[in-house]
Amino acid sequence: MKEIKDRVKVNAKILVLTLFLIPALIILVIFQLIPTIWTIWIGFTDMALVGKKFLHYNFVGLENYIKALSDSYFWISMKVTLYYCLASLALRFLLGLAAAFYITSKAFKGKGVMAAIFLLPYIIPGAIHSYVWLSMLEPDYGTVNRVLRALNLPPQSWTYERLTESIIAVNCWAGYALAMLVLASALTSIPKEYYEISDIYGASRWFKFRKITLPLIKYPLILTLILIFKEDIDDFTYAYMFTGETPYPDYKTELISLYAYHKAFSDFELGFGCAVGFIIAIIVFVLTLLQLKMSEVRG
Amino acid sequence: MSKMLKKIAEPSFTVIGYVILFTLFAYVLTPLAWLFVTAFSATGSPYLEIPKEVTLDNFIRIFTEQHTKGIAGYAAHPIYMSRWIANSLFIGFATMIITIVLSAPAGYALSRLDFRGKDLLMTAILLIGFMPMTAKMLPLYRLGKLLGLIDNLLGTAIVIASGTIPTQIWIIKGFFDHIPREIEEQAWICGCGHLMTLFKVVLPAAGPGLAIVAFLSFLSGWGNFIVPLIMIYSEDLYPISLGLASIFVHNPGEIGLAIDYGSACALSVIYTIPPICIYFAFREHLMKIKLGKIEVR
Amino acid sequence: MSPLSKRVLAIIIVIAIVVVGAVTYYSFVLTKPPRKVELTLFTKAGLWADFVRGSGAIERFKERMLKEKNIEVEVKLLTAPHRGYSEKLVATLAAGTVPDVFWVSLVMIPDMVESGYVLDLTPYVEKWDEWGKFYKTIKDMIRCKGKIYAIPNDAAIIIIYYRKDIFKKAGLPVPWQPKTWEDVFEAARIIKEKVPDVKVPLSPYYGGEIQTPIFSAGGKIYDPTDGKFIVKSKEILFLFKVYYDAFYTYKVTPRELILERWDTRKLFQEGKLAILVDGTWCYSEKWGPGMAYEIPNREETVGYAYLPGSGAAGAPKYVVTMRDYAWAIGAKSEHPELAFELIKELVKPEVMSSWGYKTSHLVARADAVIGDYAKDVFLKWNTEAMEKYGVAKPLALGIRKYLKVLQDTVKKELVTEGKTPEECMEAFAAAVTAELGADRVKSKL
Repeated sequence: MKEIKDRVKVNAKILVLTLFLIPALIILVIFQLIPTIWTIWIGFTDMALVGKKFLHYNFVGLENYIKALSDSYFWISMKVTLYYCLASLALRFLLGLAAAFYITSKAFKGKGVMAAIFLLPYIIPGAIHSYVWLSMLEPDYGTVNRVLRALNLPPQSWTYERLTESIIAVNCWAGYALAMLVLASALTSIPKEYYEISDIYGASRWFKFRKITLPLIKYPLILTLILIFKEDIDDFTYAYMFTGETPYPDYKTELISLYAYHKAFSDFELGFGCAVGFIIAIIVFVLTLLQLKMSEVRG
Repeated sequence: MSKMLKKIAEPSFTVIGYVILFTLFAYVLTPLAWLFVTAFSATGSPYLEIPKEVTLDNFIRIFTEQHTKGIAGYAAHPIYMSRWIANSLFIGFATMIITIVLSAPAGYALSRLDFRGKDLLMTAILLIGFMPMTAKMLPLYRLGKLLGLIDNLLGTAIVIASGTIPTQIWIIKGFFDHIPREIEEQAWICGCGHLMTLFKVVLPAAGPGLAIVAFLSFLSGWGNFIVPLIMIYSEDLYPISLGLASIFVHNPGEIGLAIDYGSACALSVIYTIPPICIYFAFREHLMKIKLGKIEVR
Repeated sequence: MSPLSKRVLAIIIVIAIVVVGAVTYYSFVLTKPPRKVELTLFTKAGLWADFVRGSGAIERFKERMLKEKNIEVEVKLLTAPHRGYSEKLVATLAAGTVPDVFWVSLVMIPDMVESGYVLDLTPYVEKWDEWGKFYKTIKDMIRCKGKIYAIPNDAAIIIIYYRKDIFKKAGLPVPWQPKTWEDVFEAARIIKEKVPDVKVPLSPYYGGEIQTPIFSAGGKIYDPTDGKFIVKSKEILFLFKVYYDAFYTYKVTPRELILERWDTRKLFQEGKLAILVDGTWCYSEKWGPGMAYEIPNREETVGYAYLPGSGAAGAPKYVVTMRDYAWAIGAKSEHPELAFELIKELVKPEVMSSWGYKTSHLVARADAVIGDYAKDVFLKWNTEAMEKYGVAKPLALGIRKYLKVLQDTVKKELVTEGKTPEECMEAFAAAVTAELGADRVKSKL
């Protein structure tokens, strides 16, 4: 009798737990899964947002993908995206590493305040970043060029000639804190004893860094790199704010995500835009799988 | 020889360290300095300069619904500036509540249940958001229209919540995993019902995790731009992000369409306050994400 | 009760019943409760929406509808921020939500007509007596496939600005009105010689209305009879020749102007640019009091003139190119007549004039030249210019791509690579054919 009661209790518990799970799953299915599948489907048609093809669109299979791969502008934006992502990756990572060092090392004081200051750009809502930096980078009276002139360095045309660099600067400013957080936590989990032992043997700073720090933070490091790269491929807020609705003639900031957006909303080629969007999504998908594997290996 | 090098290297290392530190500070703080300074200056301009007079006028204007200063009336009539703040607060809190209500139970369930395909489900949950938002924009809008979520703050909060729920489920599950089952079993033995165990034992233990999820989801709702752009039409329902977009009407590289920089910066400063407050409130907990602990003191 | 009081009571009751009956009859039967309708108006947030609210147009509309048609209308103002307005509009239309009235930039109309988003307003307009007051040039501009799909709200034109002080220094006549493009180059050359610190004597237009020189020569870019774009013609060659002359023959425009995207409005303000082909909005938005590139003594320093014709046979005397913004009605709107009434209210002369004055755009109808707008010398001159010499790009499917290719060709083949006008035209024709398809282009050579 008691056994049956226990069985019922256990089954009831499983039922309740499943019920806990269901609402979240429903929301995810409705608002994530369905739009994703719908978008993928649109990517196989030649639907247009405005124009004849809006009412009478056809299923064209892989034609959009072939068109994308043979479009020279697609490859130009791939090139720009690669430059943007790699530069952002390097800068965000290095800045984050430096900041992480500062807030975890013994040599510098006021780490709480430092951490707060370093986290500020990350906490501040993204909608503001572009406006603030647009004013800073204004070629004639913006602060950056003013400082350059004061130092007798040539002022740059940030809003035209060096657009890609400008958005990299904004992206790094806003995003290095992610690397900082992950790396800081990794750095503090290295047991102090390792350092102390190496001090006894008279190891130099550089040696300590190379042989102790680096290997032990290898996995979080790679994890960070993947996370940063994933974010950069997807997000085109800064590129959009700096150029607007139609691509600048030189496609300097035409990130692949922005390219998809322009194709869908400015040229009204919705099917094509969704196809390119799906290509980006696949890259993100692969990166997330990698990220998962990295977390597993470490944890 | 190496000892001598070390003697030279040590102090200069620290000096270089400080130099880099200050450069970092300059990089991080200068834009924010402009924001702050312009918010308090009477004549806003896009250039960082010491204002001739410091005033609280901009902030007052935001809350008392007067016209902004603008040449020939170019600038937007800020009739809704205080409304915008209220809307953003609503969306932030709504997102936070929805996210917690949905992901905490799910995280708990995933932590305690064991079934075939659990790993697959966990992976699927994380991967579900792999499509970039811009590609999903149009289907999401149609879906929203079908469900009556358009032009509706609650609808916006739901959609934003659906975006952060995958990550939050993972985070919460991580915290629940750390709570050993023995504690729960002990509570059962001591005669507490399941419900009581949940409320009295499990939830408090997972407090930090819930705090983090609350913080992150609030931020997600507070700072979001794209989802409100798709879903909201009425100007009196704009959150601050859309409101700022409608004030800053100029093209990149061109300045000075008589934008009221003063009010816009004041609004931006207000925009940054809640996240900073929440950060300070949850500072210790924030670092204890599943990646490990960190002492920041 | 005595018989007398009974009778009095009866009479009182009868009177009461009659009175109550009459009152009920009047309040319920004679005056029907008004029908309730909701219209949606979609426009840009901020400046645009605020103006609509502030102009009182919606209130007057609601009053009029209640009085004339006994309909209670609720107007819901939907908005999108300036950045992202066209995307949002298109997404809204594509998803099936049809705003009753919405603000649209004319270039989008051909595509919208194609997908059936906008309502054909020709029947409404023909019954509207005030339509005659709209300028003919505006009406020509707004026709798509011979029909009217939107009611114009304001316009802007491209003209030639010149700095009177530099002209005086160079000994050139002020006021100045060039009769041909040679006159323009002549003036630029003299300035280059006599006033060397002017970095850029001439800046030809490099923007959305780049097809202006074609109109100068009296040419067309689209043939409505067969729906084809013209990709090769004498006039198109003339366009390339004009740019070539500016950059290479007379060297009055440095190539870096386009390659490095110099800020021409700023250079004009600083006195480093003498002759600038640009739009009316610059006068107030850029050089006006309190604006970014404020020019003090604007009236004495900044001169403006019509763009010259090419001087060839069949070319117009002067030309100013137009662009425009308008109100359209969604095709699936449930209350098109009411929507049209709302538009009528929005484009009333007082409202249009006030908007024109506020934003330095030109009004679209002759009876809107009133009040502050009429007192503004600059606006009045430009309105007359538009009335007399206005030409606009045709509203045809594919016009945006056509103009974009033209812009790209000028930048790449002409400015960057320095090809001859003939070569540029070849490249242009090939590119447009590739974009639009061979069946949509033709050559007039």
